[in-house]
Amino acid sequence: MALVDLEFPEQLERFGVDTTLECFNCGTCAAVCPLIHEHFPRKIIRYAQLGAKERILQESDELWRCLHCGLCTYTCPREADPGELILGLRRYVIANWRGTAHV
Amino acid sequence: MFKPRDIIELIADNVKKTKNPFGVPSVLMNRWWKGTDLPAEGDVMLFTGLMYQSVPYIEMTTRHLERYEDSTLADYVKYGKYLPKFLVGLGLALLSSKKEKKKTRDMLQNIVKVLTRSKVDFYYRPELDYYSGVLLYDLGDIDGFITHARFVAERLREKGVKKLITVDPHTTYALKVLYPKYVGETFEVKTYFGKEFRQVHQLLRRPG
Repeated sequence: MALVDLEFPEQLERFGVDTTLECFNCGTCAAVCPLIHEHFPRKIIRYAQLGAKERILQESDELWRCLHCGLCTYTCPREADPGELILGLRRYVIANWRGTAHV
Repeated sequence: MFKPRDIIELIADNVKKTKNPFGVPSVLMNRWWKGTDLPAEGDVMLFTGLMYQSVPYIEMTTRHLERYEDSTLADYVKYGKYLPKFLVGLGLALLSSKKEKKKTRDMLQNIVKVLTRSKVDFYYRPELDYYSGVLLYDLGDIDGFITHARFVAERLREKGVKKLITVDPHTTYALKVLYPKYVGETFEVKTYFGKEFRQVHQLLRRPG
């Protein structure tokens, strides 16, 4: 079970992400991602939309697998910019490690 | 797999204390210009961002990280930041391949030849040639990136540097896009291979 925080997409704006809710989870990003790893980045984007913060922190290592090739952003039909969302989530996770996420 | 947190905090600590991701003192890292006769004044400053100079260190560090990735030694990466930077830097400088260093030195010297032959009025000040901090940005350490970028931008501004020629896409992106956005500092940035330098562009397009 995971707790959700529906205000999380808004909180992510502080980390440079304002397209969290643009994604409609079609899975194009996961299909083109060269990592071919457990629905990356689709799954973690879904966590962000739902505000499943604990899940994001637990599975945060996934975020650093991304090479920023830009394929997901290039192909996203919703222009949700998944690449930038991953970068924003990295910032969020680092801020959590350092205890500055709440500032 | 190494823990991203350990690697990121080590790199962040290196940049904070030594101004580059490897903890190698700049005097050891940035030596390609020695023996050249580069002007210290001119219209536009050559800014390598120490990226080519980093290649031998990247290759060596990656080789070692791969070697220890699945061993218990991987857990000790987090303690790396407690080692004296000078010792680590010196060790890396000595362990990295001389052949690789020569290769990257030659690349930079060839870029200088192209610029000179194209009659570009450029100059070089090794003491102002800093790492841009772009890796911190890519890894998500936005606070570390901003602190470092602010330091670099201030040094350049203090010395009246306004125009830069860059040699790699990462440094170009950092200075052209990220510095104005995150530090509020705008430089006139051109890559040596860009179309802005028409003569260079024509020279590079010429076969042979």
